[in-house]
Amino acid sequence: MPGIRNKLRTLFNGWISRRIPAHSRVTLNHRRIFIVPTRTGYLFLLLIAAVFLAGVNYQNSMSFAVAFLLTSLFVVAIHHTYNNLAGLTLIGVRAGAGHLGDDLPFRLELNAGGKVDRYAIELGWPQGIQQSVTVVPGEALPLTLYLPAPRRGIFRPGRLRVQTRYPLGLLVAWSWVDLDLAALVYPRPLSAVLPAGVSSHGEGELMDEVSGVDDFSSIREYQPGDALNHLAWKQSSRHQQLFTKEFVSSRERRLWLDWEVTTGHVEIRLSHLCYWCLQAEREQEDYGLRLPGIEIAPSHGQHHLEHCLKALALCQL
Amino acid sequence: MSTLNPNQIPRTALFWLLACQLLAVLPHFGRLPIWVLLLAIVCTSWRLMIFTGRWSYPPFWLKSMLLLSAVAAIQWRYHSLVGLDAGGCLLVAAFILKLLEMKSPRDAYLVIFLSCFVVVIALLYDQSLVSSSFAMLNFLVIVAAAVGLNQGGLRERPLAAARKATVMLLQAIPLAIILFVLVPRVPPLWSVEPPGSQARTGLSNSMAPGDIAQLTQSDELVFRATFEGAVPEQRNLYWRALNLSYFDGRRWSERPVNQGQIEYRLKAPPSAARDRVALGSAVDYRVILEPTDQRWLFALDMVSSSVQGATLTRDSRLLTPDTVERRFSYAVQSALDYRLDSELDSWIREFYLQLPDAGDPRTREFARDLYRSVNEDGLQFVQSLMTRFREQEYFYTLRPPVLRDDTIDGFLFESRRGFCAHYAGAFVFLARAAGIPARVVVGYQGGEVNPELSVVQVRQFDAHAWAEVWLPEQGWLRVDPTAAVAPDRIEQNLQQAVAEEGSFLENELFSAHRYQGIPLLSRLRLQLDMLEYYWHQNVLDFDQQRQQGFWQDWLGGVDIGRVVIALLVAAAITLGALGGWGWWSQRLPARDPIVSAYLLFCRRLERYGLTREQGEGPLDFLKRIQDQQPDIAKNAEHLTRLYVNAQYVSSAQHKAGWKKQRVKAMKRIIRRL
Repeated sequence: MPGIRNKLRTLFNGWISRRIPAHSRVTLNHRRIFIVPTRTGYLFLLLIAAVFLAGVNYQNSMSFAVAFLLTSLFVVAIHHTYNNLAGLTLIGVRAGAGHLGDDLPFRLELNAGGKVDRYAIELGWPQGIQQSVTVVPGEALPLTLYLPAPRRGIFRPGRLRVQTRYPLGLLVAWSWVDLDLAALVYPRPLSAVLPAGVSSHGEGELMDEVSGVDDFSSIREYQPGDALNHLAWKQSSRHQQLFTKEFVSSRERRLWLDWEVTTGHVEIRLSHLCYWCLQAEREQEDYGLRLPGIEIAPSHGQHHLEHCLKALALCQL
Repeated sequence: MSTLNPNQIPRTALFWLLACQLLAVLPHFGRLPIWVLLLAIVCTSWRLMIFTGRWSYPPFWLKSMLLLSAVAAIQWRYHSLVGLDAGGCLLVAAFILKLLEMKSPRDAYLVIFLSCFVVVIALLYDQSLVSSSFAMLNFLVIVAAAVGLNQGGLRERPLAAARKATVMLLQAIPLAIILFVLVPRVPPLWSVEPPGSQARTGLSNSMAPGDIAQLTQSDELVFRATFEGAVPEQRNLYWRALNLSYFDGRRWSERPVNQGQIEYRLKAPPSAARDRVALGSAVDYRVILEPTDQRWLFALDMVSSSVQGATLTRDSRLLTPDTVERRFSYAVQSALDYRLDSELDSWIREFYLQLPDAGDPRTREFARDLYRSVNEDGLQFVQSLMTRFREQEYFYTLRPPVLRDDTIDGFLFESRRGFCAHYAGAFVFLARAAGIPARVVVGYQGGEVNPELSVVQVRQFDAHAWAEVWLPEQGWLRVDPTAAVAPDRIEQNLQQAVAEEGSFLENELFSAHRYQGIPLLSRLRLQLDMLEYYWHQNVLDFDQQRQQGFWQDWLGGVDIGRVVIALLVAAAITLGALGGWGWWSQRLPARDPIVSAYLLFCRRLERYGLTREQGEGPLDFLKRIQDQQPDIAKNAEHLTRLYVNAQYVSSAQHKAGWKKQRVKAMKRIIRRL
């Protein structure tokens, strides 16, 4: 059974990829919208049958009229439900990045064609939370959807389901849209002792370039012009006076975060490296990253951090 | 923007749901026991208290108790829980109780579906034009409730929901009409009791003084007759229903108990051609009869062609095999000038001479003396009686005094006050006492004539009784002693006859017929009647037979193939139209409201003789305006700045809703120009 189901799913995915290819801008049209009655819709059809039966048995013209009016209303509802989606343009603006387990933001934009408001457009990935929005023509509606990151690497959330039951809830029109969004998922940071601690216990060869690490915690009085993020808050508060952490030639000091010093499973090693990167960045220290086949020269700053995290995210995938 | 909360009913929807419950139940109140009304008031108030947050939902035990007592009360009242009356009542009660536990959208859908049903049940009882229009209003509100339920989230726009509902209903109507005309009507699958068949007013097959007076208090429609050509004169409109031939000293009835033999022979169709001879041309007309629960049909004398499915009896009645429980329409032909039964068999002659063995001695003696004094000439006897009624002090009244014992003696010689039943009864008694075969005929007389449509509407207050006497060679002769007493009653109508008395529809304060004296009201009512007539004629009476006629005329035949093809073609056309409309409305580019406002501004400036040139930019145009029309330069500059700013400054810098505000500002300026 699971085999058949998987096969069917593959078939469906292939078919739908041909029908609605991934694109960052998708306008919904008749090729892309599916529509079926909801459970309420089927009950409504049953209701029509009952009213018709009353008309037959009581030979009551108005019961017939009501049955036909409701039938006709159902047909009209098909059009209205369809039209509530048709002409709607979804734009994948940008996917955010995050660590494994975080909620990743996906930014979209909705544009309504035509002239009427699109009520109760529900959007969401099957694995995430649904949102319901109203789109007004002529005004782009920005929207951020969140999805938990399931695994490290490039995460494509797959097809987004956009659906609506408006106006009567008797039918649901939907489309599966792939907005070609890809988020980067970094490893989950796992706290560990900095490799500096490890190195002092013998692996000097690897750590020689960071031998001056002890100097780094010396403290002196604050002088105007010192970077604020170098303030030693603990000491300052204790002594009612500002102190600055002294970084002896921090430019010179090179912290190499190296794959080789880590142990354990690949993901654990990457998690540790990730933690160290973040830690070093927080400490405003230069750090370099060595991964199998990749070496990133020591530096610091947001850009550098993202570079490193990206390398970690994509390592050995 | 909002995340979905599938467990709450939006307030917009709640508003419409309450409205649709109220409206759906409204037409039922006249018919249901009073406690249902009380229940509705209690439940609605409770619901409103919940709505305002002051009370909470009632506990389970209370709801169960209410439901159980409702069921018990219905069982006690109707002795049943099924059937239309009891079932309908149960449904309405449950529907009202649902107010107290309407929490989730699922409950809301249940309420919506129940509303549809409650509306349909009301239509089973009454499908007049007014009720049907009201049902349409119901559906509008029901659809609005459904839209409100699906509008999503926090947006509360009850009017938008109503607008959407209106559009959808209007779009649904064409296809509904096509289905109404084309979908084959099926005969009833199983037998059901038609609604409201318990207490129906109308004629009955016996008549005591006073019965007809009660009927005159009702303006209920009995039937409509549509004539081909002009409507005959009012004094010829005697609609016969049945003959009352047996008198027991107090009541006139159709036949004596246990005289099955005579009944059987009377029911037989007229045996020979000489029994019914038309002396002039006949009038053709079609009667649409409201349900009567009786087997007789109404027709003018003398019916000269048989009605399909009905029997014309020996004594000129039209009988259907089954009681008329639904609106029934039939075509009849009547000869207004006729000779009926030029010979009378002895058994039948004896039957029409029946009188009780004793009672009313004065009347008997008077009749014998009178008959002798006119030399036993039947016609003269009738004429002298009519003269007596006309010339002596006899009065027409709907409030006659109560008579005891010898009622005919009392009426003829003492009270001298009565209406048709009294006069017809006394007349037949007199004739029989003199030895002339006679019978009381009961039916309706006259009716409201709409000359434009050639339609006569006959209502319960047109109920009438008259007499027929049989004279040799001449056959049965219609004699209406009431006409001698109160010619108004026959020449015009009942209301004229009792105008001074004020007893016309005195218990029907709200009947429009009571106010026939007010011309505007009267004209309005006639117009409404006309609409109602078309409604009945074209919509309600569109049955299997009419449908087949329609197919025959338009599709050239009735077979399933044609019907299916016609349905498919009609559906395709309507669906195509709807789809095309949808496609077209999607295709239109979303015109930027700011651009629209600017173009409106340009059009407005043409009043000042300023036309924007092809390719002239807004700023250049502004310069030209400033040069040529300095009065409006300030406004024009303001507007142009708004426009240029909106068009060329990135929208990312604007807050939500900026566009609307800007358009509003631009429109304000345009109005000032």
